[in-house]
Amino acid sequence: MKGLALAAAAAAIVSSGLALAQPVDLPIPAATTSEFPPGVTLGKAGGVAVYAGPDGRTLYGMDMRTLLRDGADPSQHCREACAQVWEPLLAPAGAKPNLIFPMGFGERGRAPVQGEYVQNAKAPDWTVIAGPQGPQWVYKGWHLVFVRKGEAPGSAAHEGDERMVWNTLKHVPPAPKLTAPVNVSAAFVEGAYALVDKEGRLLFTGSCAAACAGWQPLAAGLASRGVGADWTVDRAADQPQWLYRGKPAYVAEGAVQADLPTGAVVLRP
Amino acid sequence: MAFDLSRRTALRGMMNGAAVAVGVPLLDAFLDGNGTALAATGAQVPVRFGTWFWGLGVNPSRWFPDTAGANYELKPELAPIKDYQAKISVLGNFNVILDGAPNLPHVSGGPAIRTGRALTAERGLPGESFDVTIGDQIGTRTRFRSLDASAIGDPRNSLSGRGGGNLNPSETSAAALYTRIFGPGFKDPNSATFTPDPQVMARRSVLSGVTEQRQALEAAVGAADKQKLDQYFTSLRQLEKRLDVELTKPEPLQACVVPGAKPPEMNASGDIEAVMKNHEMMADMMVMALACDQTRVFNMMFNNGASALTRIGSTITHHQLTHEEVLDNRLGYQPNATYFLTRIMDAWVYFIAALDKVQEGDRTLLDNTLILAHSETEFAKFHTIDNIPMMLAGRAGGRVKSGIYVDGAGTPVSRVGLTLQQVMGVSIDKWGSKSMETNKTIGELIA
Amino acid sequence: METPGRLLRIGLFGSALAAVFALGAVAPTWLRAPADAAAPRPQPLPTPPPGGVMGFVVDSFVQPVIQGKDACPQGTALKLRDAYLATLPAEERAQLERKENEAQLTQRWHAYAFGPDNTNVCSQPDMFERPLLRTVQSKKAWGLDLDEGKTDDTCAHEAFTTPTGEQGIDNQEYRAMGCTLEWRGVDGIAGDNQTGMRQFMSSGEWTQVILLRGVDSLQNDDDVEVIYANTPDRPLADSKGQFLRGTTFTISDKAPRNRNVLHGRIKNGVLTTDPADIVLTQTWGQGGARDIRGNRTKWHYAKGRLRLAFQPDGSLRGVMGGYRPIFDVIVSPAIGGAGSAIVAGIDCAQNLATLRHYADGLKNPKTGKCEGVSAAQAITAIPAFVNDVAPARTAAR
Repeated sequence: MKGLALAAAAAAIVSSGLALAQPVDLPIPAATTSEFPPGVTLGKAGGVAVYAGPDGRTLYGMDMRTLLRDGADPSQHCREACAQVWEPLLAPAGAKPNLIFPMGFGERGRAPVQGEYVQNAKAPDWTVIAGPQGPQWVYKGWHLVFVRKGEAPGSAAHEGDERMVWNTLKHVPPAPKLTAPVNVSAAFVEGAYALVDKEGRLLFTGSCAAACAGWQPLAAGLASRGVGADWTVDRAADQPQWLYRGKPAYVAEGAVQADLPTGAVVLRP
Repeated sequence: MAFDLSRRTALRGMMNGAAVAVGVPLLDAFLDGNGTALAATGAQVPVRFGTWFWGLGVNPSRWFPDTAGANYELKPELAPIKDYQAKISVLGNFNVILDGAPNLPHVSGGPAIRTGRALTAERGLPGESFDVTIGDQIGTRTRFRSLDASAIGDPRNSLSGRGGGNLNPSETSAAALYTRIFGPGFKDPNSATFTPDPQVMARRSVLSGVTEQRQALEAAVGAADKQKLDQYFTSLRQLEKRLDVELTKPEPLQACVVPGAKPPEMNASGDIEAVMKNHEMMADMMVMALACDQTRVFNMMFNNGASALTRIGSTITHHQLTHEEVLDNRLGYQPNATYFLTRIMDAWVYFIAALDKVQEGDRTLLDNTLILAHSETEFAKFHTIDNIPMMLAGRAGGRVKSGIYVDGAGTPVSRVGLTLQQVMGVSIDKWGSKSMETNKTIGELIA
Repeated sequence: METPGRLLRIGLFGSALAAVFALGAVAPTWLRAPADAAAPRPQPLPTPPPGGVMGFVVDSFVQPVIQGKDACPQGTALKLRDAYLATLPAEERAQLERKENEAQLTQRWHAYAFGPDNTNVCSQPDMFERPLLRTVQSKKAWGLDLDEGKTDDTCAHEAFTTPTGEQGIDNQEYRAMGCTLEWRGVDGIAGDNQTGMRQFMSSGEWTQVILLRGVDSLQNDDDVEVIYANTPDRPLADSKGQFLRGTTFTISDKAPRNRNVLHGRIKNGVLTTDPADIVLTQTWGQGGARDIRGNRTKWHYAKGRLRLAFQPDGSLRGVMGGYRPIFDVIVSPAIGGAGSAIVAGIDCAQNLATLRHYADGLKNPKTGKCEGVSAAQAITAIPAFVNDVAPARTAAR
């Protein structure tokens, strides 16, 4: 799986609201907070923004969802051989775990646990689980946080190791708050936020001559009256069209920059 | 006491310190001379909309008719609808198109029908379900925008919502539905801690809280209406008695919901006979709520997708049978799993029969209603989601044709949702997303 | 707690309407397919189109099973409940099988699916020791001669012979799994796999296409490029579910889809490709949030090769052979977890142990043990227009 190029991460991401994953073959959800655990910073690895530890080493997530073959509670997976090469990012001593690996169909009798736990799929960015070596940080509900022993800062050499168990923690900044028509949202596309329609297609503007006869306008409703300071309606055309900061908005054929026609400029929040 | 004969009047009174409301059926006094419109305003008799869901599909070769059009043949598993065939259309060969999203077993099919979109999350709905959209159109002026119930008693057994992870929870017991429909519209401010007890309410009858208005109403109407009111109040009382009997049994009592308290766990028993009984009582109450215009939209779920139904004395579930029981290619079906389907079709017939018993002018409540019944898979063993069985009962007040088999010829299932919304007055010309976006109304169904 | 429905997509199943074969009916095309690939070609074949480009959509892709009493003389492999009962003394078994003890039996065989620390036979199949499955006892199987008699990269195994007399056939997957109910069925006609696999092809989930380039003759041509790939496009089908000929598909290599470029030659109307890794889409979508492996499963055939015979009607029929990693064979029920065991009665640990026992390929040089089984899929494909997409998508398109 190592062969999976990091470039794949550049695919468009339309936030589904679900904390899906950090692995490069799945959409990478945006961070929901700019506050990180003590010592966690932002860095770059393989040309992509990643979280890094206090000494600049890339943080990796151990994806618990890939480890069920080895045991019913994958949060306890990293012992012995694994623990010799992977170092957990421990939460402060005494931190109270607020996450567990959820039980599956028919499971019962797991050791009793005290306290309130958040649902993994709805977990905030940073939670704490009772790891094999003590309270340990978890990212996005599923990824126990580790650094690779002896790895140089900025390296992502273990990306996708062991059939996607280990994945760098990639950072997508929190989504901007929008005041926009209901079918417009922001998506993190190829390194920056862009405006997209309900189906995730990029919105763009541009000046053009004959070419733009084929451009698909972002249609406004007959009774639309503008939204916030940025969005107004142009009623001059056959069909009302949204203007973004005074410029006509069009819908691209797809979700990445390659889907834009010549002369197009992506609309950004 | 004089009585104002306006349509939306409910009988209101007090019982045990809580307000109770009892709806009134559509009386002749409310109608014009033709019996089709309301006398006071000239408005049409309201058209209602609902869904009826069952899990785990059918044996397609034993259920779907072969030939499109009227007088379709009734194969063995569809035979229970015989008496109502003229009022039921069967929809077949409509496809769910996933556009690369995985087919989540027992999960993808239902939301695709209800939202016209492929589910990409593992639960919830990928968009607003059409019953909600229709409710926005027709259900805003009734006491309830929608009533939702699950006969198997699972609050998450729902396919209704505005999209995302949240579903409109289903009422899980007949007692809870009763409390919802006939219970307090609000709490008595003088008794802030009061919690209505459905058992007590049933024993005393909500009618006892509205005696005076009831008598006034009866005095104000003609003989035919008086008879109708009598029937209505009698059947309500009978229902209360049945409920009282149910509530006295220790098992269902535990499942009984006390409003304001945390809902109890779903009753683990999926015993088909208990679910049938629960469904019958829920059906009766839904019908009353519709007849009394307390709601114009409903969602009735019989069982869930991965059905936990069992037969008396057996621990083997319906779902387990669909997977474990080997498909006999000579028979072409799984006999044990099929038992449950037969019972489910019986329950469906009970529901529409209950609607059809209520007379509204020259039509029945069923005639003034449109109900989409559907499952979440075509053939459960393989989790197939093309050709999911669907039926349309009622005529929406004459807006649709009934009694035909429509062959969708492999077109997207979103055509069904589009057509239903258009029939119910939602102003759209296309619906669904990606490959399921469609502007093709099912013309065969439009009257 | 997850519902079993979310956890389950048991076995390899598909369309239901195709399931009904009248007694004595002609064997469906997928059963005849491998035979046609091996048989002589009495009828003339069409001339390839100018330019030598031919497209096909795969309309059947299943494990070939040979029915008949000699294959599994003891009957089909036991389901978990019966496998549990088989571990008990006769008296206790008889006691539990009485109707009034059903609840107790259910409780006990369900418990048989679980081990310590909440492990279960399907989620953690390596952690259970179970007896082997009943396996195929006859000498006949469909498939290809994968090792061609060499032993350097294989483990000891017995070869099959095809019903048409071809020897040296390697298909240990069939030996291990061919007596399970999912493969064989109960009626002497077909198992659930055969009746069910079509769904994945028709829904667009796993739909496959074959694109041939440089075909000068359908009889003999020693240089043909074969692209065996997945498409996100859904085949159009008639009212009986048969795919329509001549429809259009576009190849996609965007995950989870795949594009395999193979080299082949045509001899006497039969196209054979050189051994290569063949990877094709197989997504299950099951497991719920707590297990995402269902998004990443693949059909993986190491040293895979196609042997497809051109048919006078323009279609292709034949077989793909190759070595599959043994866990791949049970990955669907394994991801299904306890639900697969309890709801569908599959003992993944037993399946895995049997596959391990009969493994004959993908030898690990360190351990000397084989980690793959030889396997075969019967394939039929019908003419279609296939647009290729170059592997690299550019911004300039």
